[in-house]
Amino acid sequence: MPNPEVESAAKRNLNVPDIRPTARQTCRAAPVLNPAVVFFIGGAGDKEPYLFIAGPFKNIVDAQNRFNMMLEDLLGYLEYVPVYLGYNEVRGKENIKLNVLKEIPSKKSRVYIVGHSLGGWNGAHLSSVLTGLGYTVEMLVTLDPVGEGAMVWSVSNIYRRKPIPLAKFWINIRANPTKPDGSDVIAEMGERWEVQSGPNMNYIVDVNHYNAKTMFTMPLKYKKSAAILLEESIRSTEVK
Amino acid sequence: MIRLLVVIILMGMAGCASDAKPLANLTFSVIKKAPAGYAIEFHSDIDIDSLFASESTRKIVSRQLICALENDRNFSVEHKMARFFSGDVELQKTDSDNSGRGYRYLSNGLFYLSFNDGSRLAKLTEGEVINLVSVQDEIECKVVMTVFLSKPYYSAAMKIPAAQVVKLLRENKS
Repeated sequence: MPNPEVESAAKRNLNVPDIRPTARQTCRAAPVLNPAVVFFIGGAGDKEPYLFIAGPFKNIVDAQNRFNMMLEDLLGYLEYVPVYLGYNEVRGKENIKLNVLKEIPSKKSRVYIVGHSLGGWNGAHLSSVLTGLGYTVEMLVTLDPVGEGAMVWSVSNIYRRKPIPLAKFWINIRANPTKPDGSDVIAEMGERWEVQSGPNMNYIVDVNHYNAKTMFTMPLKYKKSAAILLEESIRSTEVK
Repeated sequence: MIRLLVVIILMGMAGCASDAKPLANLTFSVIKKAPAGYAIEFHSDIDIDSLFASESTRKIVSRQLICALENDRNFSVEHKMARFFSGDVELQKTDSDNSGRGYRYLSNGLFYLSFNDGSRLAKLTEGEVINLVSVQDEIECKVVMTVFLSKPYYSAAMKIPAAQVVKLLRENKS
């Protein structure tokens, strides 16, 4: 049974400018109508249980929560819109229409994709689908993407072919821990995507596969993390 | 095939491992404004960090303090509250804390509105939180941890006096 208050709030945030007076709005003439929509796409067992691995573990939610803190001033003012989805929710036309397109107000909106594990694989595919539909994917962040194996494809709702991402900027982070754990064994079983070329930034890091938050927030080039680069991109193109 | 066998054995080991972790009893200390969001300080009678520290297969994936802002007090990781506080949980220095109340933690987070079946989040304004909280005596919170290859961990419920939250939010209301 839908909660009418929540539904109302959802409509408010999706389509209707928030006209309540706030400190921010006192120095802004018009509300923002083309927000930065950031899709956080979890892997197996992230948003819902997955086979024998179980879950949900919410690996990507931890990364998202950290990012929400960084963009607190934009969250809820229609400038930064975070959307949390499972990898299976972004595969295929129907799922994309149902779960992705409805969250993007217009083709002028800036789209960002952060995907972990199978979510990195399907998220990379999503970047090319959205670009093909006329949307602008400003940045794609793939956190230890997995999906090359035929076995994982046979039991998961992922694309079979290797992704050819289309984004203005692509950061790929490949986990290669010195002390592998169960999550790394599972990632190996699903076969990590060995990205040889394509990303603007391509890093191998000493982090276990499950740890999406650390991969997302750890310093990379010039001591900047993928999260900071994402934040800078959103703020640099913030609509006035 | 060997990989699959290894994984199945790992899963079996994890599944057989004892899930009987001690229940953390939390005591609220203070809520304050943080540079980003709000920070809730509390004490735990056990070291939450150490609960899974010695285990090689079961790693803590996510550790959050979740506070219910409405009557919905279902803290299950499979359930999404409509309005809640969520923040990271970090152990604070214990050498300066001689209160005898146990381990001191700080949770820095935000007040959220969730919708679209939990896939969308927006930040609640101070005014919205005041409206929700001022009709209650207490806010209920739990530390919720997701643990890889294991069941989630939930602490005992901690009560925060609603009046303290309302007072702080009124001070910071724009």
